[in-house]
Amino acid sequence: MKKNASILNPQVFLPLLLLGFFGCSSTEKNWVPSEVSRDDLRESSVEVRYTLAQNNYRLQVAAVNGEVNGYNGVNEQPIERQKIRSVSYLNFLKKASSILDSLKKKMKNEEIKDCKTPFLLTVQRSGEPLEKIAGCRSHDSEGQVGRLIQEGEFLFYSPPTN
Amino acid sequence: MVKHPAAILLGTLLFLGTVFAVIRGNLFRGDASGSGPAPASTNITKSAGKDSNHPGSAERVRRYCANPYEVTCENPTRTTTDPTGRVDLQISGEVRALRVLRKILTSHADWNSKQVEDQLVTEIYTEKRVKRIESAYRWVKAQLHTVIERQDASVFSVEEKQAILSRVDRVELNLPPPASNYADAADVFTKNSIYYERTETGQMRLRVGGAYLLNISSWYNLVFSLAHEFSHAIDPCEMAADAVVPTAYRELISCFVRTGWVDGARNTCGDNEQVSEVFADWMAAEVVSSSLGNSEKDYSGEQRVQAAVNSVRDLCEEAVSLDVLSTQNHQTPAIRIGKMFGRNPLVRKSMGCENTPAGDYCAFSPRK
Repeated sequence: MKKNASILNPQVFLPLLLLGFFGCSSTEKNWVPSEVSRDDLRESSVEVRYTLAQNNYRLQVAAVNGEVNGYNGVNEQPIERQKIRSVSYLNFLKKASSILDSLKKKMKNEEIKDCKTPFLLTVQRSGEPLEKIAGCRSHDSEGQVGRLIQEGEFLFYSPPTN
Repeated sequence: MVKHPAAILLGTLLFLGTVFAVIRGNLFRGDASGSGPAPASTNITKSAGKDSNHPGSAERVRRYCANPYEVTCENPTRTTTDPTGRVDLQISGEVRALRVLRKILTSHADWNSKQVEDQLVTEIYTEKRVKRIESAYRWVKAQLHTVIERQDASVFSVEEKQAILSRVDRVELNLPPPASNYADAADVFTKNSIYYERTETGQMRLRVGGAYLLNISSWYNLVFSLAHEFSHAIDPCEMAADAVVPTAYRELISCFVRTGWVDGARNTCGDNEQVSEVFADWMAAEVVSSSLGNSEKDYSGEQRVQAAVNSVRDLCEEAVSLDVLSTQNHQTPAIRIGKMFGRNPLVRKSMGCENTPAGDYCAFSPRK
């Protein structure tokens, strides 16, 4: 675990990333889904806020000028802050955009009334208007919001695979 | 041996990075096994909690009687222990569960999400822990039946009683394994929450986050938390979903407003209401108080205080509203603990406190 943690560390990761970027940039480019582009690394973000019983959670991953940072917290207390791999983030951003579109077709914002498990998903893409959807997780029978949150948590802890 | 300046620079960066990472890695050391605190027996037995036989026991009981909120929430960062188990800070449960996830992900980088979930469930939702939750669920359900059934015909009509009990019986405890039981809420394995929900198809269920299992082993906290969530199934706003709201609920809500538990402007179901959460707190106190009452003869005064403290200890941390999501509308910890739980007549009786002054507490009363 210690070994992997050190690889995730920015001080170790940065030189490796530089090597990887110059040596394998074409490979990485192939991984980026067509709907999102590296332009999204300039300024974009995914945020999921959700409530379970009396706890309010916030998972946020944001890219600014090519650097991607993640925040995971409960009741405004940080559980984890972490730098996130840009390739993983772009995949996450693509998934978040797709889920947001899908939920917008199925849910209406007023559904959080009388809801015990409300959520708010916000996606900001570079150069595009802010998109958001509020809804009730109890009405998300496909579990798309839960999957997105889980994938967000995986971003924090998954070791690099390339 | 050739030493290129770039190679020296890269080597230095890698070395410094490794040193820094090892230092940071310390934050995530410790128990990553997911074993967490050993669940206490579901039987309430007199055992040696670390706070038991405290020399200032009588003084602590006196302080609890005078100010239950202050005693419950003092030393907010401290783990509190009662004879059945402990309650840790909310955030430590999340950290523990995420440590387990991190360990799985770093040890099995090639696993897909299903394999990761299965392992997470294996490590967190152990048979012993699941059985304990199931036992508490059955106990709470029986207590809710008792509370409702003992109300006479002046409080609930036969039809109303039947409607309430029918909803109690429809609430399912939904736990992994298998992990697929939470397929529509895959993140809950790492959450320190017990929650109630009613699905679009009308299914009513209770779910328990994995972090809760790692964070809290106190029977009293488990019972209060389950009873609170269970009670949502019969709270006035949820009952309205079935278009059956018992008449006696109206008088109860009026009492909630009179005692200051519910803001007079937030006493009707809909946006910004406080009725459902206050009802669930009140009903949970009714349920737990019978458990505390049973402990009266077995526990020392200090142990009784600790059991009462742990019942609602996690309520000390006031959740910060998330603007658009602030639909939950819990009261402040001072009211929930100090004026509701701490004024429950049975809780006070089990401590040997003075009776709650008339008008300071609410109960079901005859329909008007």
